[in-house]
Amino acid sequence: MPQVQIVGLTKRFGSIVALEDVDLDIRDKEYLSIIGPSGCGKSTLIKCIAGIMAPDKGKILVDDHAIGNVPIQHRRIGYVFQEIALFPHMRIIENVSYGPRVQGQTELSAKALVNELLNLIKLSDRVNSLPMELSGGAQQKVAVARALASGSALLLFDEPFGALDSKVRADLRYEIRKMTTDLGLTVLHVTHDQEEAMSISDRVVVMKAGRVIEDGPPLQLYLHPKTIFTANFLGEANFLRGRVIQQTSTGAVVQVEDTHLQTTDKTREVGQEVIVAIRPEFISVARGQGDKNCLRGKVVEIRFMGQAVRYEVEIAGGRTICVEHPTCFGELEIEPLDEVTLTTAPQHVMAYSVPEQGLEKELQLE
Amino acid sequence: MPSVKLVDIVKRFGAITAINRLSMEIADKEYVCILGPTGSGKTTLLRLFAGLTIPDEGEIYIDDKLVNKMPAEERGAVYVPQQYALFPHLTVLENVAFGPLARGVNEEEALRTAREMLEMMMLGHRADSKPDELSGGMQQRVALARGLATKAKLLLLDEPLGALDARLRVELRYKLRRLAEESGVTTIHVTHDQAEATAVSDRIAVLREGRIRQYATPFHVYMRPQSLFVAHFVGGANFLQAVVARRHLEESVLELHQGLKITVRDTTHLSAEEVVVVIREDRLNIAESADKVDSGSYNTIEGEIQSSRFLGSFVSHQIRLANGDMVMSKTPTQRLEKPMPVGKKVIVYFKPSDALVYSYPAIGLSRELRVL
Amino acid sequence: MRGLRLEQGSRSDSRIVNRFLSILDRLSASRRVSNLVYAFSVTFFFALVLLPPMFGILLKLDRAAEVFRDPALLGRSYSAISWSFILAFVVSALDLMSGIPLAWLIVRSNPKWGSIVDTLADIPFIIPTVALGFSTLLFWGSEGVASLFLGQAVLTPGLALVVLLHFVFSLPVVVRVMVGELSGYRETFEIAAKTLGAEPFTAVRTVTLPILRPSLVASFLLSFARSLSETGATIVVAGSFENGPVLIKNAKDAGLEGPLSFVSFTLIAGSAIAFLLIKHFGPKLRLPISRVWPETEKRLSRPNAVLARDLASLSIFIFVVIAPSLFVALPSLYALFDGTFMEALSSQGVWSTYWQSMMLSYVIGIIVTVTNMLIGMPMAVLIARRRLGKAATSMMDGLVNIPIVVPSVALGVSLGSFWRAIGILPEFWVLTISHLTITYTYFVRAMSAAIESVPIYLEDTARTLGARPLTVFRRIILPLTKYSLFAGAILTFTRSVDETGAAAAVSEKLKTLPVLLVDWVKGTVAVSRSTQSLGVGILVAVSFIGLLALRLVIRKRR
Repeated sequence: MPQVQIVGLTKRFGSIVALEDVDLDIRDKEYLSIIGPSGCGKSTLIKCIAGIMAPDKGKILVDDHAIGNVPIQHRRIGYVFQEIALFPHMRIIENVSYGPRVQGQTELSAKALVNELLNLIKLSDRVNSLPMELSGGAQQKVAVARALASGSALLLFDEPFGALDSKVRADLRYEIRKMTTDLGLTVLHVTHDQEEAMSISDRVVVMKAGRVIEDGPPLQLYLHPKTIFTANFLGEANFLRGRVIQQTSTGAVVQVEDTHLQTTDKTREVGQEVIVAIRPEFISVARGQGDKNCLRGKVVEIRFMGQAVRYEVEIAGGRTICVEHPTCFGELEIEPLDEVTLTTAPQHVMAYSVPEQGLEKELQLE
Repeated sequence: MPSVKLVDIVKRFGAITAINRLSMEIADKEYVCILGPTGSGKTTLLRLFAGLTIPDEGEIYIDDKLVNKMPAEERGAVYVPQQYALFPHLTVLENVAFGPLARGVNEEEALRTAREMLEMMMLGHRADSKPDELSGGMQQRVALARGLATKAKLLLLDEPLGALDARLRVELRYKLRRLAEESGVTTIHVTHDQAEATAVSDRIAVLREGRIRQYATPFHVYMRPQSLFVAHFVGGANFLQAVVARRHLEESVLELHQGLKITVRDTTHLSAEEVVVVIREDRLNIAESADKVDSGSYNTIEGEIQSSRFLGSFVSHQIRLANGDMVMSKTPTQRLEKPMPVGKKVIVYFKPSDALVYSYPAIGLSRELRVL
Repeated sequence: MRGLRLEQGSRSDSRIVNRFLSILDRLSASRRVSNLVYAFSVTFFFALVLLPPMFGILLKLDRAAEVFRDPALLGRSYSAISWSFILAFVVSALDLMSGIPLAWLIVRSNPKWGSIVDTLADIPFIIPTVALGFSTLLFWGSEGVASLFLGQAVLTPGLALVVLLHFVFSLPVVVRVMVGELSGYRETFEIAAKTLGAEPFTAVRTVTLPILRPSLVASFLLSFARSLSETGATIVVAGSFENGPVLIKNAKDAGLEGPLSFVSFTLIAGSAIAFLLIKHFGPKLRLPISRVWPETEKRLSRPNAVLARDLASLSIFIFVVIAPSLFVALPSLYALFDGTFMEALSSQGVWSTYWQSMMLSYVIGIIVTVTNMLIGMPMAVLIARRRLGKAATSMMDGLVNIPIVVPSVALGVSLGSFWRAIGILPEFWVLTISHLTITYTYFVRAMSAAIESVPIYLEDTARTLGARPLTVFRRIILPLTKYSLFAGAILTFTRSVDETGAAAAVSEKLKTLPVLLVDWVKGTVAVSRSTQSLGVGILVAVSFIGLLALRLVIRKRR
């Protein structure tokens, strides 16, 4: 039952800090995604868990055993690479049976397991093909099967779909997720794609600059992110400056430009400068002047996005708010240059303290 | 007056026909996306525009001038490959000044133009850096600045956002679009990401196996896809097999598997006996019970939740309908706030006007939709 | 006032240069002009490099056939030819077996030590082969280190010494190729194998080496070619043993045209066939990767086993390769103090011919290097960018390799017969052209590999930005390949100076330095041991300057 504990993991490359005192717990059979911008340390983290890199400080425990000194080949941890590292000189069947063979199993005993896995990924008819004859998506499925055949119950995915088309990516991730769930595996999945992470994980861990920022179930992180970075990284959000003018029983009231916005945040103090974040899909837009307590602005751009229509509204102070209105809610009769009002429900207005380094730096994605 | 025109272009590589009698017109200052899966011929098409590849048949016109024989260096069409192709041995400033210098502009003026361009991209402070010292997003801006510095009229972008993180892609695509608009160039942007294409283009050309399947605004490609492939490739959709039970000009009745009947308004392909019904995932709604839905204006089908996936602004559910068909439904998070539990019995409903009908493809549905 | 005028002057100079360049630039855009340049380069290749040797063979076919009338000569010829191939094969196998662990050591272990071994590994390559032969002879002979312990020569001139010698001078080739491959090799595959449970030894054996098979074949072929071709050193240590090149030289000295031509032509044909066979079947060779011995391989992967292997590699390397190669330094240094040096400086006696020969070698070297650079560059572009289409390009690529596939002494014989038949060229130019033929391949290969590594999308983008072909070449390709350009030039020059076989075959009255030294060492020209040592020593010292230059250039690139 692989459950993993990471304690105080630190890794530096010269002056660059790749991992800084990282703590993480992964439960047995959990599907955990680690997301963050390039260079946040997520790949370094799983490479340390696999044994490909050695951390400078800290401990890694699998089922309460410290594996720091165990070489890669004895850790029994499956690894799927972004570059699809199928052995180009071996056929599919030889690739998948590689693990059992190098561990001393005879061809015959490995055969049953290998065939079962190939059936599972629906590639039994390609056993004798070479990797380069398969599509990218098929190759990655073989790579997963290969990792499973070697007997690992813990899998590490390093941006496994990075090299694939977006359509193929979308379908493949569900297939792989189902497979790992059915087989009762523990999975650590590293990706920079937040939609991918949220759609298939039990829990998501957000990293930035070598540190864990926060973690939690996808829904919770998306709807109630604890930091501005998480709010911005998991999806789009509008960020506005404001000041708390009142604390009520339901939550703080924040003054933004010439309007008051009700929030559900009970931790703020009156007079505090805050940053307010609202996701575009949680803002309603309507033509007209509206009553006194909503944001007002002028529509500067309308774009059809398929599932939603995107409005860019310029409000007082010159800032632009993005609103995404789902097309299934019906068509709004709004044209560019129309005066509109923007409203949102209190639970969708998130308030944060003003970051020390300033809002710009906090929102930086690279 | 169209700025770029292709007429009956054919391009072969050995036995493979990469571009198969393709024609298209792009208006001056238009932002067009060429969308298609890997291997559809997108990059070949871009290279044909650039003059890096010569067509076997057909004509290419830029501003009404036949340019088939015109070499790449004279076309005024700047090509930016996915890797940005910044010259690693030159500084950022020298990179941006390369085009003007190559065209014979004197050094002083070329450097001045280069500096102006970099200021416009807010990269003036990195003028003396080397390309590998810059982040991906910055490199992209330098590549654009370099192209625009030549005062080219045509910008050819090959998966310009492909090398970037997903979140960065979303943020930068709007900036890219704005930049092209402000510079007044005609842009051709190649991508395999349909959300990206829908978000930034004036028109999308959906490419498959060297042919254009549909060339229209994002709205038309999404709402009125001309073929099953386009419906499948651009945005998620459900495909249900059916037979025509009763044909009528305004409202027809189709029979799905197990005799389940639905009404549709789309009459375009009803001459066929066997059809495929296409309903976009976000047009398929879920209700907890039948009394919440007006069965007069909607088709209603019973179903059971198989799985749910949280996508951020939308929640996606996989539902097994009463007749055994599997469908996907996308609901705005705002409406649901929490995914439905597996096994819950629900009512799936959609408007008759939201169902598009196509004749059943001769080669079979899965082969027709195959993206590879 | 004066300063201003100077500035104006220099500005107008650069304006003239710019004007000239822009004219050339516009010319380069014309299809006709660029085709002309490429055609000229290809014609030059055929007219001066490829066709003369072929015609030379045809001209002398009848003389070659003479050998069939004399059974003794025929037997001797067959024996020499077979020995050439057997030797080449055995030595190349030995080189692979020693070279791979050594390359591994260089790339995968401590970078400081690795870099030292890397530099040392170049030594047998940079030292001219005649010097290598002489040094080896002394080391293993009665005056050498070995004799200190045994009181007599360990090895006298003969087969064993030849094998050792060939092993030594081909090793750097294998190490160079394998180090290059290993450095660029993505360890991902090996790591993947380990995550699947493979011990390091197993991972390397079943994954890395098979993937690197093309470079294993390539280094085998290069080693093979070098062994077949080598003349100068082999003559020095052969004693009564005869392989192809030794027989050719002996036949030339004895005036036996028959065996001279016969053996040359058979060697050329045989090496071409051997090459094709190895190139075709080598990649198909199935390495034993399906069977695994987990327990044994685990033991072989342990740090102690690795250490033992590394020590063994290093010991062989130091005692069998480096020490014998550098041994000549001792008697040379000794010769500095026993008066020989003064004789040398004052050009007394044989030393006047020495300096003349050195002058000849270096003048030829410079002419050959510059010519090859100018003429070989368009060919390199043709091959790297596949301008002639896939099939024609790989044919051209194959043809360009012929001068190094074929033994240089045999090449020299056929070139000599061709140009002498034409009769118009003086010996100096025949010598120069022979050197040009031998070294042509080095520059073209180095440049085409470098150009190929410049991503083509850089060129494409530059073109669409408005740059014409010459500008693209000048401002993109050249800056990005300039280190390979220098390295290729240095390689060409050193190879030219080192060339013994072809020079020996062609020369009548003029002797290049290596040919002269062979005479000195073999005793054809009687000189003292001191004189031999100093003569060889000076050549080695000057070659080391070449090594340093090469090192500096390569280090800059890294």
